[in-house]
Amino acid sequence: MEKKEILREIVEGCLKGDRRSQEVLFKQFYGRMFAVCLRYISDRDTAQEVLQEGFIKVFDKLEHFDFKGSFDGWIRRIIANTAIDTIRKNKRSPFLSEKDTDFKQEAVDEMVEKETFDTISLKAEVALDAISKLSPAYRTVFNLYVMEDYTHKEIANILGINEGTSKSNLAKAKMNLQRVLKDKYKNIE
Amino acid sequence: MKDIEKLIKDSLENHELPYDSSAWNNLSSKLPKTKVVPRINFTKWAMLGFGAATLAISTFLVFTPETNKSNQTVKKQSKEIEKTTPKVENKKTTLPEENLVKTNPKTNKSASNTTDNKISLNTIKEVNQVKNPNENTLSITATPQDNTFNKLNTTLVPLIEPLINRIDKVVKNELKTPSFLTKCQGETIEWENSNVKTIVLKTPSGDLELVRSKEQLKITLNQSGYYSFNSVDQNGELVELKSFKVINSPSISLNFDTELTYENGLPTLKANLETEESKIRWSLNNETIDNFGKNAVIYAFNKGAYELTAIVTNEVACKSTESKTIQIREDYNLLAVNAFDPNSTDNRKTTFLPVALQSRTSPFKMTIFDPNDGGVVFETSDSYQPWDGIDKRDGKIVNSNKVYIWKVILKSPEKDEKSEYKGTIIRI
Repeated sequence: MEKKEILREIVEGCLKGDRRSQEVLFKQFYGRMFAVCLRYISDRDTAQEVLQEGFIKVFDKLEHFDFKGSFDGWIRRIIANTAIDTIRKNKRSPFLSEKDTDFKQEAVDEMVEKETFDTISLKAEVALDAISKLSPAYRTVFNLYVMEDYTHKEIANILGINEGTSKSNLAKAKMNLQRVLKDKYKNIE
Repeated sequence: MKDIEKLIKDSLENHELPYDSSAWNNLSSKLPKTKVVPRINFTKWAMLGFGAATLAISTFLVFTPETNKSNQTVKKQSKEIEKTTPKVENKKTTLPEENLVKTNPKTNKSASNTTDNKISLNTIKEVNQVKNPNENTLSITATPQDNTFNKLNTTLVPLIEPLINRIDKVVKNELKTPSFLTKCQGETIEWENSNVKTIVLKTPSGDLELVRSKEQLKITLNQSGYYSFNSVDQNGELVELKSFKVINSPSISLNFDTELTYENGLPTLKANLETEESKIRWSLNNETIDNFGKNAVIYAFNKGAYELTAIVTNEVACKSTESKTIQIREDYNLLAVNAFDPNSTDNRKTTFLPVALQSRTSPFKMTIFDPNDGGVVFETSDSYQPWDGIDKRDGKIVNSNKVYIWKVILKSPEKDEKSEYKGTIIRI
């Protein structure tokens, strides 16, 4: 309740076009939302552009936020959708299933190799790196299903593919992720 | 043994990247222009929240005497207000940017505009009088801005504080790193680590460079991509503080003809630059020359070295430079031959005129002198009237194997070209 009030203050400031309120909002969500962008788009420059574009949409749509659900989740969906739109723009049928050769099986960052993961917690950078090596088709489905908790039906709808493709892309994404990570950390199943 | 979905979700769910203030500058320039409302920043909001908390109490107190119109109660609770008020001021000293005074007129103003709060306003005055007629602190804190404040209470404070701390952490507790965001490949950076902690520079290929406290870092940025400055946490893991991008310099390839060509009779050197970029600057022997785009044409009138340099700049101001040098062994002399034979069967050899004059556009005057007496043997300004070997003074053909001097004056020489050429000519 109280947190919502603060949020409401910030949002109201943003709606009035107050730069400082916008900056506070941006600052608050920058780190997490940039991380979201990087999950979809591995190129940092493009991800940064997507983030900017996404925030413009956030400010634009802010009046529609009803303060009922999670604000974090609301912003994240806008950012994720912007990222998907960008992938869509850049490639024809980017979300259809792809050849397995699209998966670049390069070694995960050398620095990371030196680390041991007995307890199996994955460093975010490693996870991000592994995801970035997936093809856009696999990566997007993986992100939407695993990270954003969409169903295959919803994913099919968002990406304009059929449910079967979504399921098979997820399976292949997981397989590929396993392949890359398994070499490093033997105890992942 | 974790499922891969969960493993990755766990690791990325709360993944957060360090704040980059340039990102906001970028974004704010794209947002629709609005005036910056001169109002409180977030810390001040928190303050407002704090004020609101006090206010909530006050309002509560204000309303209470309404129902229980005992003067005693009002007095008693005014004391409580007094207790709360110093707390606000205390806060003020810890957060210097907060300005109560600045906030107050605003709240006062909005309150005076509120018509439906008459009762409470009156009551405030009442309370004020009861407490201390000369002191107005209460009217500051107890001015309701809107009804939502009524819902706020003291529990708000601990909720806001982590938020403030978090922002402070981002803004204030950052270790010092260089401020640049982009560099060009090949540039050298120098930076002194003024932090107490060791900073680790990570190159795009993953190489690590330790920069201990007070140490100087000097590195040439050979790789393109993201370099990052990191600190090392307790577990020995790198925590990225800041990254900067090293941008590829534009790729260029300079082709410089090694042989002179004589287009229009001029000693021409041609160069061509292969590049994606369009911002090209040329210089010849370290002097800037006119912009030729991707093709450069140079006239080499004199012997010597011609060092041609192309400088290409891309849209992020990264430069690439390539130079090539060509040696020219002879001065240009209008491509004049030194002998002619009026009796030759080859038409080209029967007369004399420096070859270049046949195709050059500049008007000219050629004079042939007799070196013995300096007399003028022949004159022409027409490239179709070369010297046929006749001495105009006696109308006879000149003696063979005698050296004559020719001189050409160009009316409109090229830039950097001399206007007068001389040479010798022998009739065979």
